[in-house]
Amino acid sequence: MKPFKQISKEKWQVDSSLEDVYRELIDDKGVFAAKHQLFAAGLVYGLLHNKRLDKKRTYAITKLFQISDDTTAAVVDVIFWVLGDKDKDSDVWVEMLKIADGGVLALSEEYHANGDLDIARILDESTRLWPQRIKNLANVA
Amino acid sequence: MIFRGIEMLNFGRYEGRHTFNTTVTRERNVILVRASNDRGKTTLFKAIKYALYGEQGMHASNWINFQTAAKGDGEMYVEIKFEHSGSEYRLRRSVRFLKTEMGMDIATTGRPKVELFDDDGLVDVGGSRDAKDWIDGVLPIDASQFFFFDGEEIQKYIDGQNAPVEDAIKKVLGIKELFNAEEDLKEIKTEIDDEYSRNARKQSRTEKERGKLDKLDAELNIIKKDIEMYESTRKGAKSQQEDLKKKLQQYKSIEDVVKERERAEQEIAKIDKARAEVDKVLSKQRGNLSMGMLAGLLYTIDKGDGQGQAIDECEEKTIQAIFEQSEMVCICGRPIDTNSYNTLKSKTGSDETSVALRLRGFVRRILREAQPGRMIVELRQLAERKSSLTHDKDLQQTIVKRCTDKINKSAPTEEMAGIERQYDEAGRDIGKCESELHNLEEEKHKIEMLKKRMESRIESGADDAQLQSARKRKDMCDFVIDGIGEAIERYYKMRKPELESLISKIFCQLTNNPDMYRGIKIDRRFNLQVLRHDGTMLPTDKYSPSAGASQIVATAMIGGMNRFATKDAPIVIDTPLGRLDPTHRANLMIYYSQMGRQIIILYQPSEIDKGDLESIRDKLASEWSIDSIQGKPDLSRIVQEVSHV
Repeated sequence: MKPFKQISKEKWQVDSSLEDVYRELIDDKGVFAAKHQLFAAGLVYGLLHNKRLDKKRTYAITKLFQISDDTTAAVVDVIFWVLGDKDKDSDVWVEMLKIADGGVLALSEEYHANGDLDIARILDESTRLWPQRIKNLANVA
Repeated sequence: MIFRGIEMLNFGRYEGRHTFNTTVTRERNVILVRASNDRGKTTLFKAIKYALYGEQGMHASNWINFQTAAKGDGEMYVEIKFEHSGSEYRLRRSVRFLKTEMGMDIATTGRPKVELFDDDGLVDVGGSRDAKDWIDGVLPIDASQFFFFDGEEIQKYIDGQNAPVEDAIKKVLGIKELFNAEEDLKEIKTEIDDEYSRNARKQSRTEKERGKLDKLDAELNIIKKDIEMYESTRKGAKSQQEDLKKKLQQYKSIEDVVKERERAEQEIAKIDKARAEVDKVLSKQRGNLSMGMLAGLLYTIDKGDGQGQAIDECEEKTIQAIFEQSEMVCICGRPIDTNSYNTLKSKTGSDETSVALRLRGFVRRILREAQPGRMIVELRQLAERKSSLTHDKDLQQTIVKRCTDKINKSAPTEEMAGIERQYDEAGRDIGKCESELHNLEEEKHKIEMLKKRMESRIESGADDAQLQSARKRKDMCDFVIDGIGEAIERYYKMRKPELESLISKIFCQLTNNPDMYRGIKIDRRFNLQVLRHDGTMLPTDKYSPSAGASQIVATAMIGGMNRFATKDAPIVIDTPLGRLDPTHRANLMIYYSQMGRQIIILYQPSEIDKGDLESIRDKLASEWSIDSIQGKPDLSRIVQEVSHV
């Protein structure tokens, strides 16, 4: 198990390969109030459902330290630690960005399939899936 | 008879097999079935009647589920399991059908089949005619209208037309056949009277006498023809008026439909507004979705593996401050013994246990500060609110669509104004005919008396066997007609108080103004009258302007008939409360629950509220709902929501 430490927020940039999705779900449809909220939701959803999208990330969302929302910050902190079995912190962060993109894409697909995000189902699923998923996460297994 | 269960296969909106368990107990005898309009409530009601009494004017093919028929050949049936006189039976009425394209009349193969089974297997009841007799022995079709009824259709008993009441009373008293016999004899008597007149004319002694008789006959013939003409005109005008009345009622109901659509559209506007508000809040709250989803992981980490106490950030910093000092002293300056110092060191070390404790402390802080449990509750509430609003909107949109369809099928206003004019004209024609008929009947009576006196005079002066024989037949016919009339009169008089008493008792139980009324009376012409406490009587269609009050009289009438029929059978009520006010509703719900050993109530959600249900809560055996099948709005299923037995 890697020593527990918090992410150094000054260094990292939140970016994505899914500019269109961010613009649609936030600017057009107002599904989320802010981009960092969608990023955090995608990050957790991606981690839970083992989603990952490794595409060139050209869409700059924000610097991590600029996220003032405590909820998003706490989510990023926890996941950084959960994934922290890499040698370098930068590798962990890049992995987090890929997972977030995978999750955002899956949430977007769900939104298009049902016309909305089925929050009740998403929450039910997360309660049901974590005990199984947790076994595959090195730092909490 | 008690229904044990009902099974339908491909009947109406019910595609495939559907079962409806109708178990009741002595204490819990009421089954509630809730369904919005056009969901299959009346189909279930009709399925019961179909199983027991067959097609009744509507061909079985009309009840076959057309979606199933479009797929291929198949079978439609309704089966009722029931207990009767201590034995268990299954009655199944079925018909086979052929694959038929949507929109075409469904072709059946042969007549519907009726089968009755008991514990030993198929019961031999002969053909369908004999099966009918067997079922009539359990609950005669004539009496079934007092057991299976529609709360709104029973209005026919009090709308001022006495024919339905007359028919119902004759049926329940079992005197319909006597009335038929009386009518038949009156027709025979006309022939016998003519024969007597012909014989009397033959025996007349002078030309003048014959001439007078001929003149009277000619006058009578003219009057009879006039009577026939006016009766025919009156009949035509009445029939026309009935048709026009139906159209006008449709028109009136369209006014209600327009209002209903307006209400539904207003509801949709309100729902849209509420949904926009929820969406706004949801957009913000979805920011918490990540924490909500993460909660499962956080709680698992928090639960930990039981290795010591978690350490939080503040504690960790305090301990580090202690270690930064050169001596083994606390930050407050007091000395720390070696054991305590080592314990603190183990908590902040780099080994796995201390890392896990620190992580747990970190997670615990997040749980304390972010409170994901609360976030989940809030998110769920919002999602449920949105889902409920979406459902409500769907419901209102269905109402708008149904109303629009009805409105589109109705005639325009100008046409209705024309119909109202025609209706009034027909009414005037009927009045004119009745006045003429009254005069003609008086005239006819006068001439008949004159003729009768003349014929008696002729008969007394003659000694003719044929004339005497004709007289005897005439007297005998009169005697029998009078006898039947008197029998009807006496039997009716004898049983009527019992019937009136039963109806009155129920009426007084149901009315919301029992101090004003003493009961219901039935006059010789089968009109129902409401008897007030001051002794005055008012026709039921005029005693109160309220539609609810009228429904109370109609229900009392049905209830009275039901008791009078002295049959033990389930009560099935479609649309039980219609447009009643809350007091009437509560009275009626309690009354229905006492009406028999088994009551099945098929209602719309807007008819019965929680208060009404509360009044019969202890009586409920089970609660069901009929819902459309998702994605197939033309199909329904019946689902048990609660069983109390």
